[in-house]
Amino acid sequence: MSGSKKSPLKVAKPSSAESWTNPFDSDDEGKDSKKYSSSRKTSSERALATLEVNTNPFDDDIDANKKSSSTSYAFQSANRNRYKNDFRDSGGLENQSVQELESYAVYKAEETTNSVNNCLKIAENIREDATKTLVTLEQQGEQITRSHHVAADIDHDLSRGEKLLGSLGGLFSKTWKPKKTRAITGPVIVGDDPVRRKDNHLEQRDKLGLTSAPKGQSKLRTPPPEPTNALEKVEVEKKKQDDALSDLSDLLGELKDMAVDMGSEIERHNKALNHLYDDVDELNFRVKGANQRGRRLLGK
Amino acid sequence: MSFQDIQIGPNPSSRRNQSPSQAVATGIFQIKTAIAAFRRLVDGVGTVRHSRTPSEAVPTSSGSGEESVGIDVESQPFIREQKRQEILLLDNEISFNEAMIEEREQGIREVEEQIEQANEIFKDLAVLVHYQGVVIDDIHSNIDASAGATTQARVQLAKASKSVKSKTSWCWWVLAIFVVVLVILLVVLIL
Repeated sequence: MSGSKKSPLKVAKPSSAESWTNPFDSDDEGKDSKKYSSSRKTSSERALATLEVNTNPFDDDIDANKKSSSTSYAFQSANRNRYKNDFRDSGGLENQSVQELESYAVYKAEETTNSVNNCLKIAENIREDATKTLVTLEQQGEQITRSHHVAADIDHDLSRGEKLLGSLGGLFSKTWKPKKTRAITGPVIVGDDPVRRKDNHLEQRDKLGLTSAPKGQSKLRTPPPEPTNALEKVEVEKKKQDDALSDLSDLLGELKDMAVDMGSEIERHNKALNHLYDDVDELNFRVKGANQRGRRLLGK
Repeated sequence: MSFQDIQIGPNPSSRRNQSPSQAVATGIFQIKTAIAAFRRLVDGVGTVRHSRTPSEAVPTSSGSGEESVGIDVESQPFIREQKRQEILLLDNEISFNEAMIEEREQGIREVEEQIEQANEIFKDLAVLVHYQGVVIDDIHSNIDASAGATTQARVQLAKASKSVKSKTSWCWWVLAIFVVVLVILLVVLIL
């Protein structure tokens, strides 16, 4: 009887001890899981943070975009302010929960997309400036051609004047003839036409380029409504970035073509200016001779 | 393991303890599922800790204790191996993501630098073209002035030519009168 009484007491004590230790184990497990997940997220977020630091030149534009978006969504702006504060406080990232870290990742991906879009905008501005420069070059080429035509007219008037100077003078005076080193040729018209045709093609290309840009933007707009989870949002942001980078590549290709055309245009300007220089030099020589003849006649 | 030990003991004690033991088991199962939702690695940690409690209960009963010790020895290396594999997978995933992020960062940085350089080049080109435009404008205006001066010179030379022609005709008239006078004088002297 005494032996049987002792055995149930011993059996009861271990069961109560097990029930007491179980919740403690569960709490420790929860803490470990949170710490591990937070450390993993912080490592990936630090890499994103370095990416953000490298894109500092575009912060002003990003702030402007944020200000415009904050008017429509106050809650999102509050979260974004928190994310910025978290980013600034290095210790804050480790204390955040998994969901907030995922939202932080989406936020950083959106910032990267904004940076790429800013690069695309700058490239578009470069293209506009290049277009203006190309048009200016074309106008200057036409101006050089007009100047050359005016020089040819000067040659015509000068030849008439020289004839009159030759006919002047008395019966017993010497006959005077103008000295001509080379004949004055007008601008090279044969070479201009195909280049002008190319310029027309360039203008058409520019117009087509301008029209194609908004199509790319419309393509970018279609994906956004699809995602639901944070990871899917990050993937959508990656696709946006890839699309923007491909558009950027196409735009840079156009800039290359425009630069090559500018080079050929400037080369043509150099040749035309050389011709104009030679013709004006000849005109200068003949005008000096005519002036000497005039002085002799007045001297008599 | 600990529940089997309780069942091996006296019957009335096992009957009395069935309901709380089931409740504890369901609670532990729920905790395991909740932990599994976070990470697989946490499951490994939980099983390791649960395996420790039977070893603590071993001194109470000798025979069943030996059996539980054997089972623990068999399961511990498997759990450790699984834990290591999961840790390796996670480390690989983290390093892969970091490498992807760094590569993307470098690519975007290079794109940014190239666009800045292209922007500077096009701005310089625009400035040079503007200066060239000013020079060409000067050339154009100078040539226009030369054309005007040449035209005026031609007009002046035409006027000079007309005046010279009229003067020549006057000389011829004077010469003719002189000849007539000479002829008259000769005729008078002869008669």
